[in-house]
Amino acid sequence: MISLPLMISLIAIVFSTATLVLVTNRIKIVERRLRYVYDLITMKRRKKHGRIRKRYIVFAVISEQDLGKKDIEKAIRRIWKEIFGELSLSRADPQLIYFEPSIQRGIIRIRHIYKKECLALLGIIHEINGMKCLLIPITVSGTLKRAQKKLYMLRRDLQPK
Amino acid sequence: MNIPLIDIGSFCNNEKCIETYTILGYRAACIEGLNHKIIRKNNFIAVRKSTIYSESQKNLKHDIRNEKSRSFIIAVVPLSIEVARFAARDRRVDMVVLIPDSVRYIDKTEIAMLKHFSKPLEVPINTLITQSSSVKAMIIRRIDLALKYNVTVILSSWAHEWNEILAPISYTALGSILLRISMKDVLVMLTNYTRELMVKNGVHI
Repeated sequence: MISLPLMISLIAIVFSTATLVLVTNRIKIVERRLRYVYDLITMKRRKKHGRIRKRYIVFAVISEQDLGKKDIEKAIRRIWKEIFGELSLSRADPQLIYFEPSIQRGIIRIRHIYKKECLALLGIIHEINGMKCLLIPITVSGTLKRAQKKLYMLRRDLQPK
Repeated sequence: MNIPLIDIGSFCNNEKCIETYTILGYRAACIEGLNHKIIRKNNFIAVRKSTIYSESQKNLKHDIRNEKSRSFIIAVVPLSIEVARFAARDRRVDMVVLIPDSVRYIDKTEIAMLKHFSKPLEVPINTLITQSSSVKAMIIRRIDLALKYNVTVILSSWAHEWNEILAPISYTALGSILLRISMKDVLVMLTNYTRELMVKNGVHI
């Protein structure tokens, strides 16, 4: 079924095409327009979805005791659900893809449109498994390779002594 | 870091907190219940702040008189309309605090007065996370009104422990999401407005 606004727009296109033919006699433009109208009717032209782009957030953990990868991932998912909701969680899909326990740093992979939410969330987490902790975002990168490079390079003052 | 990041409201006054502030890149913090009026440590400045909860104008005047000489920054939590109006126009008061206790007394007229006397509104960011949705809605409505009236809104952490202090990037991202303004504007709230307030009260940063 064709909706009313689409119908109106189609009629408008047909009328404008007719006037174009009368004024300029340009057949190619007319042909292209008619093909566009035909595609719209047959639903061939659909909205193209963009590629899923990722961001890699490098973060450091300051805590009373060393934390494990699973604990951190669970805490991130739990608090995301509390603050932003389940639907947002499934769309953003934050994954702790890499965690280095010796320097207490990790990398979170997330969809690029949820970068801000993820950064905010890292600030909200104050406690994991009853242990006081602080998650500090260090940098955001577009590729895993660069993120891993930065993981070992930046902010040595945040490493446990 | 060139930009002086300042946390305008905190209750965290031990050594560990000051260390955490330094690690996170803050230049200064206004801390409630600090032992000294001012502490300078490794390019970090901690100054004492007083938050006065008051129901009557008489008590508020008395408290301000006592606290002004002891603290650099004075914030007032109004618990009545009378106090809210007085806090908005009194020069000794630096900020009016918007928390669930005072949300009922900060109305349109109060916001207009804050605008008229160029007084900032302090919003503890943790109240926007921990409170119930109805209280949060009330607070957010007041913040929107303040932003509409171009009243200076300052975010503070109100951290009681070292782990409640927010990293600056998290601060800006969270503020941007909660207040629906750009991250740049939130950064201005954290740096420029707070610095002006501290310089006005005689702290050199």
